[in-house]
Amino acid sequence: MTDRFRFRRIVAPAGPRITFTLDGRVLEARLGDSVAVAMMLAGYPACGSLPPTGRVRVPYCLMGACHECLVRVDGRSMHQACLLPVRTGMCIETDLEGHGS
Amino acid sequence: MTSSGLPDDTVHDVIIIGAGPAGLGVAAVTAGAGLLTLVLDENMHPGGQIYRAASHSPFPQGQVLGKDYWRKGTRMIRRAYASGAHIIPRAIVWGITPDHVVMARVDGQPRRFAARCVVLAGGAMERPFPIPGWTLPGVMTVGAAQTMLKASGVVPPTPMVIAGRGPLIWLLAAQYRRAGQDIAAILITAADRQWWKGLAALPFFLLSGDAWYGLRLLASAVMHRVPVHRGVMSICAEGTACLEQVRWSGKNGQDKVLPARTLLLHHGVVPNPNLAMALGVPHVWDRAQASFRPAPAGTAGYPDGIVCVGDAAGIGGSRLAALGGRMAGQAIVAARGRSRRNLLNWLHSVSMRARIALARRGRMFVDCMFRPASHFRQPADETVICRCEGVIAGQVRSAAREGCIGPNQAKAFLRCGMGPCQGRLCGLTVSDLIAQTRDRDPADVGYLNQRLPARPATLGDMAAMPADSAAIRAVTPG
Ligand SMILES: Cc1cc2nc3c(=O)[nH]c(=O)nc-3n(C[C@H](O)[C@H](O)[C@H](O)COP(=O)(O)OP(=O)(O)OC[C@H]3O[C@@H](n4cnc5c(N)ncnc54)[C@H](O)[C@@H]3O)c2cc1C
Repeated sequence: MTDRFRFRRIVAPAGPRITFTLDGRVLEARLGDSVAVAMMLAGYPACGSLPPTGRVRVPYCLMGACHECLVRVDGRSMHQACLLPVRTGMCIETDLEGHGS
Repeated sequence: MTSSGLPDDTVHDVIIIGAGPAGLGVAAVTAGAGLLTLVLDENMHPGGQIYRAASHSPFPQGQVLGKDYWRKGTRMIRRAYASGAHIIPRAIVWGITPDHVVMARVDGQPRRFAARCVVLAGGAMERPFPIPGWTLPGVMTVGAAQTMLKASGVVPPTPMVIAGRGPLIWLLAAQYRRAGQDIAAILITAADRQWWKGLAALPFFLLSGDAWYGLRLLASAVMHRVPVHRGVMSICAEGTACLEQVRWSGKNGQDKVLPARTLLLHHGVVPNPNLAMALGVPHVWDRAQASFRPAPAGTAGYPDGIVCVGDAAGIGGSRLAALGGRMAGQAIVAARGRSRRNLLNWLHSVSMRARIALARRGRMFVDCMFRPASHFRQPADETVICRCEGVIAGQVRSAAREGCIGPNQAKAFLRCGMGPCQGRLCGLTVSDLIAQTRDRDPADVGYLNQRLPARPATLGDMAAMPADSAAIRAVTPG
């Protein structure tokens, strides 16, 4: 899933480098990005899967409408990743199989 | 600025939801007149859709995104702050009680704010554009692409295809070309009506100030030789685990295939209806824009102390949103007996009214040019229309044939509209499909009933609500 999904930054990022965890994996991000954009830049855009088909959810609208990017953040559910600024040490959990809840 | 710095039980004169041109326009007027004004917006910075992140753009001084974006955006944001309005970003509003307590999640924490009057300036969202394969990873909206470009300077993988209809497509294409980002093709979908039907409104459009801007965008796409295909009749996103190619056909019906890692879809914007509908604001069907919008202020049944402005009240674009916001601000100030009556103010409001009337007439041309063909709004049976629950168009059609007269029955049978997006990405399609199948007007079919919370809210959020019975009634079904 990762390399095909490489989103690219075309301008020098403003914020300092930070790290956060996604389903236990330590990833790098820049302060000032949303959690969704940080996940996309890191190559892990999947936020979860939908029953019954198991369709993988990835950010679709990035403006708070589609709710495809709901994730758990620091143990609290129902956060829209596109609206949430990423922070140092943030713990993001998806509901992909084998991860999170 | 993360908090208004005021105690939680402060009653604001005005709370405005949305810090776009409309909301900031209201705020500049009401705060400027000395009313205690609070603006709540879910994004990291004020600016709304058009001026998203203008004050914090990763591109220096309007590069790539355009001089207009940077200059007008920073000026608008600066003015709003200078007026003395408190602006709280990262505040997702999920409910408003009948006595105007606004419920929000600020930085993930439950908060509530009280007001005498609440202005809904939440703007628009992109019209649902269901095509086969639109749930595949790799398919996003044009608005999403623009959001990541403006806020973070990020572009999606190439090869990239853009498909649909509407001014935002040309704006994104111009910005991508300036950024040196390749576009494999732009597929312009067929329109609902012939363009000449909008000719009557053309003179107003030419006078409204938006025409020159539009022409410049079109010229930019032509000059940069992006392959543009017009009259596209069908689009299909194909791939196994993610998007691999885009299949499309033109007027001659022949299929063509483009390899793609990114497909960006766009069929114009419609008012984001959930909050206004959940508060009981009466809505009307706008035939020209093929969407529901709040009924004009003063319509019977309008909840007390609630005002809708900007694109949230019906699509008009940023110029109308800013003008409408200032007019609404003046009305609020006047209602509080704070406005000064003099010749200058009177002339000012007359000129504003004239500019609003002109821009509205001009907008009819845009509506006519860009309304997507009905077969895209009422897609073929096998197309998924509800992303959350995986409902296909054929299921809605058969439910309608079996007697479902509106979206709320369809929802009970099929669950479309019950998922986390609360119908934002299927509501209009469901109304359209039922109207088509039963040969009715969408006005008679109606829209999915909306309830609070208008955004996902946890028990913790609910627990922060004021504990009076009216407030509890507002968020409990039945
Ligand atoms: C994705 C997208 C991109 C667009 N880009 C452009 C563009 O580049 N140029 C252009 O001319 N037009 C653009 N438009 C059209 C745009 O709607 C208008 O030009 C203009 O921005 C409308 O101004 P407004 O103040 O009415 O709403 P908006 O500018 O949309 O502002 C509304 C604000 O309210 C916020 N909001 C909504 N609901 C809530 C809530 N419940 N809680 C808290 N905050 C909330 C929104 O996030 C937004 O910041 C775009 C529209 C969309 C949907």
